[in-house]
Amino acid sequence: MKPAPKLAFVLYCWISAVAAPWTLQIVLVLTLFALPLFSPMWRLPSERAKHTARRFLAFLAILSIVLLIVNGLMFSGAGRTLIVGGIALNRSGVLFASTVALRLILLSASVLFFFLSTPMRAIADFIEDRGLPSALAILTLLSVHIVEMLPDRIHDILAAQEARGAPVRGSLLARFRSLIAVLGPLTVSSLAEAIERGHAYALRGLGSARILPSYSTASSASRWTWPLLSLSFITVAWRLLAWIQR
Amino acid sequence: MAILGPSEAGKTTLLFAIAGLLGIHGTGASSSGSVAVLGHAFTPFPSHPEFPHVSMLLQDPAVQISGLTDTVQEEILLGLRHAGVARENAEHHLEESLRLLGIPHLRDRTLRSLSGGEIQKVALASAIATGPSVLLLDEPASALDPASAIALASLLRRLAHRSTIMFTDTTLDLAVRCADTVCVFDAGGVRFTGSPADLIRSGSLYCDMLPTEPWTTALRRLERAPAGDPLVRRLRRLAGMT
Repeated sequence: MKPAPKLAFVLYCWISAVAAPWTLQIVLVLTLFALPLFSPMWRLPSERAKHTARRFLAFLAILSIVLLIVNGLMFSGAGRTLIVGGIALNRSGVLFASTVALRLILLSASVLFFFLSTPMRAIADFIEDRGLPSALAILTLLSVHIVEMLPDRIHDILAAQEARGAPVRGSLLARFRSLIAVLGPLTVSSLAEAIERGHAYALRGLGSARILPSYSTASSASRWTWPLLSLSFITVAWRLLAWIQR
Repeated sequence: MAILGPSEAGKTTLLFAIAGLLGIHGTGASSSGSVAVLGHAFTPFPSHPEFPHVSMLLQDPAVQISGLTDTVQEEILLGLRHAGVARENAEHHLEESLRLLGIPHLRDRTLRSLSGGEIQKVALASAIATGPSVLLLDEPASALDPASAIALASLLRRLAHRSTIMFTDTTLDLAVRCADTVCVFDAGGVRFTGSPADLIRSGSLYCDMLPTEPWTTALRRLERAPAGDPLVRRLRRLAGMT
């Protein structure tokens, strides 16, 4: 598993989301969705990861549609009107929303696919191999772990509240209220576990700088890393030139 | 050595001080004094874990599983790798720790498929795989059924030949079965030090504070029973008290 080229690709997605034209963004989004299907490096390793990806993509799709409709309806600028399913939408509003949605998808899906397809072991190796502070490795591992555990933890807290008679099902308002009530226990339990896990990582010698290279499963880089980093640089340079010439 | 005492007595804090966990990752307990570990005196405390010479099993073993690996084998190899053990020797350490814990059959199992008791054994196997000089266990029997607690006591006795072992507990039971010395803690201070038998014999107030299971209660009653009674003598002999 090689995090370096994947990180380079995520960086390129992020830079392109801000600096590249929308046509390139579309190509990148399509590439991003094709990668887990065709590249072993990006393949989602478990059913759990696939389930998370499906749910997140469904959320992104809903968010994008809402963005398109709201902007299409509310945009006040002059422009032609598009009729979609009997609803009149402002063309400029729809185009603006499409740009925003493309950026959102690029920013979030690239990070999501990176973390879902890269084992935490490989991420830790990558950080340690570069001699970065052990605190960074521990913080990264803790963050990834807590994000991964969030859905299960929210489910557990809601189940506990429901067992005590709290109205966690029912109307939208009741569900919203129950979610607010989850925040306190969620924050406290996450902090407590983060401290304990930090101790456990320290006790297991994380950052002890005694790691033997022969154990390492992560290769330092691949032939894709530098071309992708160069592309990121070129995109930024191109954008800066365009801005200066304007 | 068993560190006994009620909750909030400072047992875990003591283990954290020895393990070098006080003051890191936001623990930040206000404290004074010094700690000497393996001949090195630290004032006030060791500021980082003396890995791999000191290992510790936290109260919740599930937290100890790193989450960085998929199988039991990889999990144990992780600590060995961090300890700088060469790959060819690591295999031997791995097998030895699995054998000591009686879990060679779990070697290729995924961590997600393990039960709570199995996770505790894997966490303990990871802790002992590096051959620590000092092994600290925070309430290792708190989540175990009586049979597993007896097995743990037997395991700790075997491990005591390799490492200095300190464990905390809120009851006398595990200490009676496997500790040479007990140290009763309360309100952050030491209230009693001696053998488990001494503690029982002393009839100390702290002895009464520690909840016990029937076996330990029977031992305590036997200790106080009149020595002249032939039945008492026979029972004491059976219990290994004479």
